[in-house]
Amino acid sequence: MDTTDHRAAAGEVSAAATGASLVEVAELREQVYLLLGLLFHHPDDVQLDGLTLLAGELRGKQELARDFAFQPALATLLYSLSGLTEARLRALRGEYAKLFQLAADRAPCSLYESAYVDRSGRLAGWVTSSVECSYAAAGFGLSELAGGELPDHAGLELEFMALLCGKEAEARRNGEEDAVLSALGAQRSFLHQHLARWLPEAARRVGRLAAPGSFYGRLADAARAYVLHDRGLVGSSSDRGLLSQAAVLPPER
Amino acid sequence: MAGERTSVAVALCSRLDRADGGLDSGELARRLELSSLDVHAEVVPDLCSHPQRTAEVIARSGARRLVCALSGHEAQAEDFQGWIRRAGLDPHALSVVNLRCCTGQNGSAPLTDNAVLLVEAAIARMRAFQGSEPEQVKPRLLTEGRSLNRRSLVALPPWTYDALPLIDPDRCLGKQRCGLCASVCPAAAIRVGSGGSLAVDTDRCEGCGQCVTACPPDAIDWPAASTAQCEAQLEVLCRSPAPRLLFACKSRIAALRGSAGGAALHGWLPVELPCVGMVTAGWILQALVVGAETVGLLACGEDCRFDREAATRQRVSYVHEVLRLFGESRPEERVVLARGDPQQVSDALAAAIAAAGNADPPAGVRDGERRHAVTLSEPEATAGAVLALAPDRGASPEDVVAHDASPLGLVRVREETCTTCGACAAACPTGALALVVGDESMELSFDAERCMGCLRCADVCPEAAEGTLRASRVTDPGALRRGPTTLKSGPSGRCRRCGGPVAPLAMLERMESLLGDDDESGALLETLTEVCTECR
Repeated sequence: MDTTDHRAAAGEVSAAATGASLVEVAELREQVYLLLGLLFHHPDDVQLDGLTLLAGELRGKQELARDFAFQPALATLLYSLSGLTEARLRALRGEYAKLFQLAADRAPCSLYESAYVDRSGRLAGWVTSSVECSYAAAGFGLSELAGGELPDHAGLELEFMALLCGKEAEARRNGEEDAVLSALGAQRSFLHQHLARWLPEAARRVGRLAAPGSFYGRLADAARAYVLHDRGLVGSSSDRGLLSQAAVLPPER
Repeated sequence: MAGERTSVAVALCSRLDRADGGLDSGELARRLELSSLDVHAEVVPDLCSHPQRTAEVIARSGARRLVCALSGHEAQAEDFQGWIRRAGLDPHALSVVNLRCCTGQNGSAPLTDNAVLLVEAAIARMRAFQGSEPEQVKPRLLTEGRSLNRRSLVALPPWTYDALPLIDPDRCLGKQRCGLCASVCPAAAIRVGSGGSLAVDTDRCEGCGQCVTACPPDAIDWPAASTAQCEAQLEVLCRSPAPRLLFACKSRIAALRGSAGGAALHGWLPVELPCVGMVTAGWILQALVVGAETVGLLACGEDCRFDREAATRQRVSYVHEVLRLFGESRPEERVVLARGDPQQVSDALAAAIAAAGNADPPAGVRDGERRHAVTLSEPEATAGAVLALAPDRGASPEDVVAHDASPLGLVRVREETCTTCGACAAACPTGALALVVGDESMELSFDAERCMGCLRCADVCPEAAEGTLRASRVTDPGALRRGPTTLKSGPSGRCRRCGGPVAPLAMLERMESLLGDDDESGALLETLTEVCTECR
């Protein structure tokens, strides 16, 4: 085999390893964000049925996720969710309170962006407003289901990213280039300005304080690995404009 | 061998046997397995063209780290990385070794010996790999040099994971305004993070590794080539009787292999790095001290995005000066900087191999025996190597090397004007200058072995106008041998309330001379000079 043949072979190999369609990738990203977002809410606010369904769907996408470096952390998290019951879910209250709640502004690992980004450490200040503006700019607002939670809570920020990925997936399915570009731009901007700026640090703190092998320790590992990875992936994709080109390409016959 | 104890798997391409003057890959695999119990080695049919076969090797061995020994230059590490991460391994738990330099004509060592050495060095590097943190794994789409077909526009294009440096905030001296890493970063990617320590801007970082070798407390971990990994690799390579080490950036050496000049690599043991600009003078000197016959550096080309050729040239020039001073008659033949187009590089490398047998080894390696373990952290690397190379004839002004690229420095103070205020010690990132506070006196000390010649002390000295502190980039074996010395000491003023030290008397006198004698200054002076900070 000469060099040219080899390069062709290598291209074939790479395609085999990364052949997921961009729609599938966007859907995977949406579901991972949704799962992480749900799990950062208080255990009392999590609906077990929905969580189990989502975890099951993600287990079915492990083959696709294997291409990504965050997969081992995600697989570990999904493993801890297997066989989850109402009783086990409620039993997480104690650990949740110890790590995240004690007092919203003095918790060992606050789940609010303000605690990390606002130098005064004040909750419900300019950081919270800025996050709310990002939601509004994308056409979203907090519903009553949020239960009065502040917009810069980790769970809500992750769910917002899930919504943006969902918009991207839908736009790709419909071949709407402008909508894909808009969703990608919003994702990149939100990751850079908000989520990826603080959540990895918060997750690192959780990783240090949580008991080894505990549920929230695994959640924190998965969230840190995933958010940092997604920031790099979205940044790299947007830089080259590659992911956006796909939206306008007519279906191959 | 495969089992729970296997920590590194080695996949050898079967095409090694077919290359010109080929290797016996079966023998190579046997020797690698015999050399260590935790290594699984196997020959894989046509691995160079079938990276996916690495997944089978990983599954069979159970190893979490992989070394691929290839026979050609066609395959790229990225092609293999995709398959190891699908097998659940860390994307950076992979080392690709090209053994083409061990085929065909070679130096005195039998072909397979050099190949074993190169693979064992890669194994050592993988053993020293501590795993990547999520912050060190950055996805990058692979589009450069690859044509995109229709499929790649509807599917996610192939991508790789770049390794990013990560600064340990507990060890970083950024809070003491060190910043040496930031000063060498060509992408301006290191900034002040939370709590004053430094942090890497992952969007800007281009992965050249300059910061890793510039960091005095070794606080930067980098999965692509950490100091510990490079030390482990050099330790193994220098087991060879008289190795010819070639430090080279990966892309540059790949281009050379693909050109007609590739034959010039025969006889060299390549140490592939993301950028050759991360090789310090201490690395080169350490390699010579531990037995390298010749050290080559493959300089950045014109297309190098980091453009560190000037810095590398300066370092090599410094090493030449050191060697010349310590008895080497032709240092340019012992340490070679190969520059220019592939033909010029090829000629330079071939000439170095031809000349190697004629030169006298420097003093430190004359007996042909290893005396030191490899240390690559600066300034210990340069200091240790200089002490090993310098003739042991006591302190001599003849042995001093003054050079702008000296990684070592020297600080002197004028005792008449130094007030022992300690500003220089507070600014020193390596602790070479230290202010020792005793019950009755204060002492400013200096340890040449820890000085990197950053000259920050000179910038902060309040008595600079008096020429009080002189810092220079000088390598002085005499000063290195002396160890910590006292630059100035003197009695300290006592607090009239608690009796503890306030400040050096010389400093208090200086303040007195600066402040006027009006009532306001008098009261201020009294507070400043007679009461310690705790009692004020």
